[in-house]
Amino acid sequence: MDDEDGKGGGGRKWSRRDWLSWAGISTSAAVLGLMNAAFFRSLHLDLLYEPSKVFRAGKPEHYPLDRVVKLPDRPVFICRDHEGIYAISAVCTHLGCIVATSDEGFACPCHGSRYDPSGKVVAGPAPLSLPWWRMTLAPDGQVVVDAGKAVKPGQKLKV
Amino acid sequence: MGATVPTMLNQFLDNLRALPGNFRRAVFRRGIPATDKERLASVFANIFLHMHAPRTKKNTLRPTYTWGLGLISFYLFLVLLLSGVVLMFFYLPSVDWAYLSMKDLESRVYLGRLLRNLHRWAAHAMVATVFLHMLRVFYTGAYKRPREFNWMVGVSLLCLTLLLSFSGYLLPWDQLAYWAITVGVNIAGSAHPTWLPQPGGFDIGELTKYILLGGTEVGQEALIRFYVVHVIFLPLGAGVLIGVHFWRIRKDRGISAPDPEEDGAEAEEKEDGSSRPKRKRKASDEVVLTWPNTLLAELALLMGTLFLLNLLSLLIDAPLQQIADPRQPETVAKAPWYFLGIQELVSYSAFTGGVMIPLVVVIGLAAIPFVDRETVRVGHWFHNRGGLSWSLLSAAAGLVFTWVVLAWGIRTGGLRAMYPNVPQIVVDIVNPAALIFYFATGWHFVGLYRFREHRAATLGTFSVFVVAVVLVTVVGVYCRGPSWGFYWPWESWPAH
Amino acid sequence: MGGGTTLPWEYQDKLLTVATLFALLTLGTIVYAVWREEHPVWERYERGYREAMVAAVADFPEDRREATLASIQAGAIQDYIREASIVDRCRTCHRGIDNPLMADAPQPYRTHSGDTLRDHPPSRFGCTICHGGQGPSLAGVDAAHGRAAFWDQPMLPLRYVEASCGRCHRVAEVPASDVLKRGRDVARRECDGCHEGDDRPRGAKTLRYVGIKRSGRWLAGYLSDPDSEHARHWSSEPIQRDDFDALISELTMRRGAEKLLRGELLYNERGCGGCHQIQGVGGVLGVDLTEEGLRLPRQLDFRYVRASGGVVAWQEAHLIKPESVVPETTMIDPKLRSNEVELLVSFVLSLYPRWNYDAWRPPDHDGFREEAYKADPARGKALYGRYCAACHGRNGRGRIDIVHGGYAPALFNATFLALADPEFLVYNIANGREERNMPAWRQTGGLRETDIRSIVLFLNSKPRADTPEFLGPFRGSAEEGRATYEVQCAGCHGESGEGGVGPALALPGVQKAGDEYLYATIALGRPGTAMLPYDLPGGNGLPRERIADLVAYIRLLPEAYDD
Repeated sequence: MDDEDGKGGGGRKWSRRDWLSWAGISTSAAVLGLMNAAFFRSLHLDLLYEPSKVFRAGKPEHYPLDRVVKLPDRPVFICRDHEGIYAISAVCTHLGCIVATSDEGFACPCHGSRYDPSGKVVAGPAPLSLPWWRMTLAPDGQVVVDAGKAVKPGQKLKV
Repeated sequence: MGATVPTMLNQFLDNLRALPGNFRRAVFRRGIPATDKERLASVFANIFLHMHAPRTKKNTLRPTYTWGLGLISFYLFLVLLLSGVVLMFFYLPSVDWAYLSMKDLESRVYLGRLLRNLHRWAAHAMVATVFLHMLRVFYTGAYKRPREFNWMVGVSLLCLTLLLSFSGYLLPWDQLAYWAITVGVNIAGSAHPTWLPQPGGFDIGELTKYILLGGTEVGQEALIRFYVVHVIFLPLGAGVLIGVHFWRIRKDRGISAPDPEEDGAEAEEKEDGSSRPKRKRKASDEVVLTWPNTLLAELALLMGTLFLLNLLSLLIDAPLQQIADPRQPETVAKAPWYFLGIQELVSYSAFTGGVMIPLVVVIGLAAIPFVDRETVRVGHWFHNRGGLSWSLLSAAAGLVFTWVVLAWGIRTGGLRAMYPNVPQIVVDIVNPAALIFYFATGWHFVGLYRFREHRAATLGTFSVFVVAVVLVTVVGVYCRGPSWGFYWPWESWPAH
Repeated sequence: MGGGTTLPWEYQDKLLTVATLFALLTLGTIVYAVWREEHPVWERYERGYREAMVAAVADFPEDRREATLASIQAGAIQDYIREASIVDRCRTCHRGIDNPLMADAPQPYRTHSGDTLRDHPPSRFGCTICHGGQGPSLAGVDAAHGRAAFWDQPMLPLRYVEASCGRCHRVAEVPASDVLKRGRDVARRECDGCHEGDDRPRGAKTLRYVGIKRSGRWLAGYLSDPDSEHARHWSSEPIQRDDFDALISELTMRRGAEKLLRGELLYNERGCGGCHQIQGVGGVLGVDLTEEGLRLPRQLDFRYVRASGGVVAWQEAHLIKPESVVPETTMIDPKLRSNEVELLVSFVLSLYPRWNYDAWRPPDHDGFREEAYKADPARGKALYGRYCAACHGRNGRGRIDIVHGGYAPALFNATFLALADPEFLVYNIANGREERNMPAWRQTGGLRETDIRSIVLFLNSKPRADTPEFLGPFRGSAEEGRATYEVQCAGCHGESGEGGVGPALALPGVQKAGDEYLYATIALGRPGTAMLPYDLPGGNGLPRERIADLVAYIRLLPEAYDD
């Protein structure tokens, strides 16, 4: 960057000094940039002081067939049919209210968004359908819901 | 009167095309400078670079003149500022959570351990570099007219640095922190000498302590007070004073440098006979362009500081003891190391060592440029050869005297042990701490008598002060054990 | 060279090189720090667990295998219980703790032993509440297990883990061992046939933890309800009253932590409570043990114990031989067998301020609130063993206490029991003996009126001597008595009745007794102790009038003593 002769030219060969300048400035900038990036990274926490997004939700056979069960302490619906068991988020995709079950599926009490039984949005301001959460099977036979990882709607855990 | 619509549209498109360049020019005014004139202008035009004069005296760039200590202190301050702000995201100033916050930095926060170590070691390092910076400024005589005021600002910054470090010491809320602060605050609590009347129970020391702690012992109130002071008031104060400090450097025509008129030979010697054409005015030979010379030196120094600090933080973890337990004093409750000198003096007399001497020392330091007003040979280490030998002799004398006086205090337990009924006021007047102080004061007049020069006298006193500080601190750090008993570093402390 | 105002280029080159060099070095430190952060020490356990799981589910049907493998959580795992301020990250490495497939896996993956986790899932309780250690730490094996410098609670050795049960579950009253033994036999005979074993009838639940869910009173009421199945069971073959009581005791003790309960039983039967207090109940000669389980390493003297063993090693060494750890101790050597040391240490470590977190409170948290009971000698016997036997002897023969000084009277002494009025005994137990080692058991020792009366009932159930009827007058002339006292009594009881080998006669404990009691005691002595019978014909016998004079003089002693 330091062109001491004042005739900055495009195709001019880089002198040792140019290289040195470039190296000094760029490595220093890299140091400052990287340090900043590292500390910005620290603002992203991996362990949170809030209830875990991954939790066990009991054995699948405890859920009645073809019924929607709202978990008491989590915004998640557990549904089971003869194809398998799956979890649907109970958080409205509009502004985060907790939706309730209705005759046609789910309905949000805040702004009237409505979803069909598979969580697909059918009316109201909600921009997206209710996500289906990933469901896996713990070794002790309980289902594990990961309420941070959405899967394709219709993907049920066969039990 | 408007132009035609197509013209306007064309102009609009042209403006859009020229936007990046215009935007850059709006922000930076000019591109990367290519000529000296442009370089001068760049320093002028940029708010950050404008802290510098466009030209820098060449002599001040010699590493052996400044050792970069002031700048390193400033870099450390910046590191502390930035790491401190990030730490604030993860720290809760509550007695229930503060300690867990520390543990979280270790296990939960990305690079948290490094972050905490950086902050801790930078704080300790800054205390050291600021002190060394003061030594440099003193021994090169840089405090002299017209820089008296900036010297005083510097003394205030030294105090602020100590206070910043001290107020941050409590925040981890571990045993180390808790008992160090308990001891430190009790030093402030002894500000009111026992022999002074207390009208209406008024005790300035107790009052200070009460205000400082928000109560009578270190607890939640104290924690939040130290926190607020540590993250708001002191950094703000230090930031403003640093600004003043820098601004004064510019107003005082840059930092001090050996005067080439007077010291021509030395200046000539430094010239390397490169192909530079001689300028008309001799004085201009000793200035160089700030861009790039000073800036490059500063960059190199920044990278060096960052490297050493990072290395230290990777290798050594900041201490963290058990969670604070007010019922369980540490076997040895020690203040942070930079206060152990004071704690050592306090062990002889709380009032004299803890309040009187620190106060007089700070006032005395601030008064140096007004005592020594001879402005010859500014910028020369130790004034001259005679100054160097007098400084060394004074240091040796100070070392011996401090050693003897400490030995007296440690061996006999001082006046109180020799004459148990002696009143407190006499103990406050005659004790190792006070004796060292009398010696340093007396030494000033020895220097005056011998050299008939204020500069020489000041050099002697200051040297005595420096070795006394160092020795007393070393004794406090390495030679004090349980109940503040004396143990050589190689002796083991008795269990319980 | 543009202009004369720049430094020579070599100088700038040097600066640039230095800057570049330092910048590269700094970059190195940052990259290393980031690399270290990206590869935490627990990473290999995460990998190891996955490998172990892949092996464990190898023979599962395909979709089940995949669903199970998918359930393995990535990254660090944390159990956070906000209300109890618990942050435990132990499961980051101990991933198989609730995974039945890992029963035989090597640590740290192995399944938790026993059925503890059924009622105590880590997601609700964390791990450190029972096991200790540094829950939030992910900084390495030693740090996490609390073996780091400046962490006061290293992991509790597994053999003492039952001590942690006592932090929440509390036994109101551990019965005496003979009662327990009897109760165990009865339970084996009457209950376990249906309630234990794999082929138990429908509806018969295991009684393994019945003591935690049901109080003794509830069990007694339920079992004696005439409409219940159990009453019908016993209607043909009635159960004895004592057997029934013992059975209830046994059932309330069925709570799982066998070692801890036996430790408490040992504590009671060794009479530790005679000198030590727990939550305000017990003697005062020894250290208050209410928070003994909370002792921190730096509160203990490790000059004679290997410091690396921590608090546990200290407690063990101390109970094996107290003066080997605390040379100036006045504690009686408990002379424990090696297995008993472990039991008692389990109990001692469980002495810990109780958790006060409502959501966790087990039914027995407050020991089902002590049930009111009537004074009864059986209870008195247990209480005697617990609080009196340390000084007065298990056999009631009394004891000279050289360490603390003083003499504890022989309470089972037949003559003493024959003479001592129950109210006199109650008074002395409740108020103690001033300036002697006998504390006021009501105020200081924390015993209740019923407890004290139970002890007296127990004492009175001991055989008493036949004593002659003495006829009055029991009080003669104090003037005459003085001379006799100084010759015959002052040697043991002190010039002004301040006591010595014998009791302090001037103090209210003795003065409270009736004239007849004093008279008879002097006359008959205390066989088996230093107190001789003075009524003996010949020898050092005293005429009856002299004894009555002594009684009169003893009544004046408090004045002499106060001077």
